[in-house]
Amino acid sequence: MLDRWAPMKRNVGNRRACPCLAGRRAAPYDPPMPSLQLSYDYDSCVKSSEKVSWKLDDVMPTGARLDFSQPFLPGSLAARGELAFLSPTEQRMLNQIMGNAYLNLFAFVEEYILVTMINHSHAEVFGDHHAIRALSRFADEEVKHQHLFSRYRQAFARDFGHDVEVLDSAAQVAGVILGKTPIAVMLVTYHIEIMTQAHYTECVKDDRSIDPFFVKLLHHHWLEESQHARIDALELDKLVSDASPAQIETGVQDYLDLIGAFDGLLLQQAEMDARSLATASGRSFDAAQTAAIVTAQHAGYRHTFLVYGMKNASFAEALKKISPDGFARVTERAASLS
Amino acid sequence: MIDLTDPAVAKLVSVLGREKATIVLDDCMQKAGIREIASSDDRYRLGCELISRGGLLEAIGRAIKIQAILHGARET
Repeated sequence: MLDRWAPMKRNVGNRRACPCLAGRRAAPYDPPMPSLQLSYDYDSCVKSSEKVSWKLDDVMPTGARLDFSQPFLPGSLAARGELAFLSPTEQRMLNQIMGNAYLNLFAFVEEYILVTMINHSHAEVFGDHHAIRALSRFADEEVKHQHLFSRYRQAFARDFGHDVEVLDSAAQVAGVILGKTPIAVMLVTYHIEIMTQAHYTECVKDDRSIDPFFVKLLHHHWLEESQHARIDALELDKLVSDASPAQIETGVQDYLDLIGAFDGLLLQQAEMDARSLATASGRSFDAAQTAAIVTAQHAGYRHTFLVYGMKNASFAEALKKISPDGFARVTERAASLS
Repeated sequence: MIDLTDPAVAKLVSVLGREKATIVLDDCMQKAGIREIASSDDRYRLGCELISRGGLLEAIGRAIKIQAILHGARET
């Protein structure tokens, strides 16, 4: 078990009160015990991050063209349910529309994650320099990912040949998320980062039927997100280690509220996808067909962005340690969304 | 008696040294009416008091304040 307060102790000597401070009016501070029993620390995250770091221009040079001959998302992350009334070309188009929205959703959430990591880094100023370094790299990489996905979306808009709609109120959503308790914000962040890893390793990495360039983007995203998930766990551990049971329960409830809010956004994206497909295919879908597309897309987004994170083994294990009751509530909600 | 591993106190000590930190801490606690540094709310108030002093103390105070907020301090 690592002692997260070690850097502070190194700064200030051992835990015995300094003679010059003896007799002062302050209560002893009991250093919190880690709750998640993590096997890594900030320094190891920085070292791993340095090994896998990449440059934006190497992964997606400006002006790179996209190939639309193959689907972008593996079937396990795409629409769920039969849409037999769509031709194979229309089904591939819908997959590519969802792939574009998938990357946009990451760029979307990275807006609030960036703010969060800058805040957490600021909190460590004059404290743990390993943590500052890890958190600062994290923030820098999140901005890089936003640039990557922005370039991708520009290429998609240029090469797809039709207008597609995507959610565009990232700052507004960041405001809603950041209005929740820090424990909830970090739970959502850990959920997203660990889910991203699972998407790549379980669904994307070995799928030879999807566009290799899309796989390459997700590979590079995953390389850095792997460290981010570890840093999230370290930050979450820090937050819960001195939180009261009531603060933890509020954090879990806020997390579930945010899951509900995300679900609403995903439904909006599913409705946008149906409109985008109609535009791209030049076909008018009747009300039943439109509803079927929206339902299939929404189910796909729910599975990919919500259930995948909520049911992730590492996330579930962490949640169980923080709050067994919260774990049960999250499990129940995941089942209702499946 | 103050435990130097308190995250807010540790920031002050790491920047100012024990002797100067003792003086600043004593003064800030007195001005802000803080009897002990035992909770996030205490650290939040200490951070606010340090911010009001400007310069390096303001920088330390901002870090203490944001850390306190992340750990559940109620903003007042």
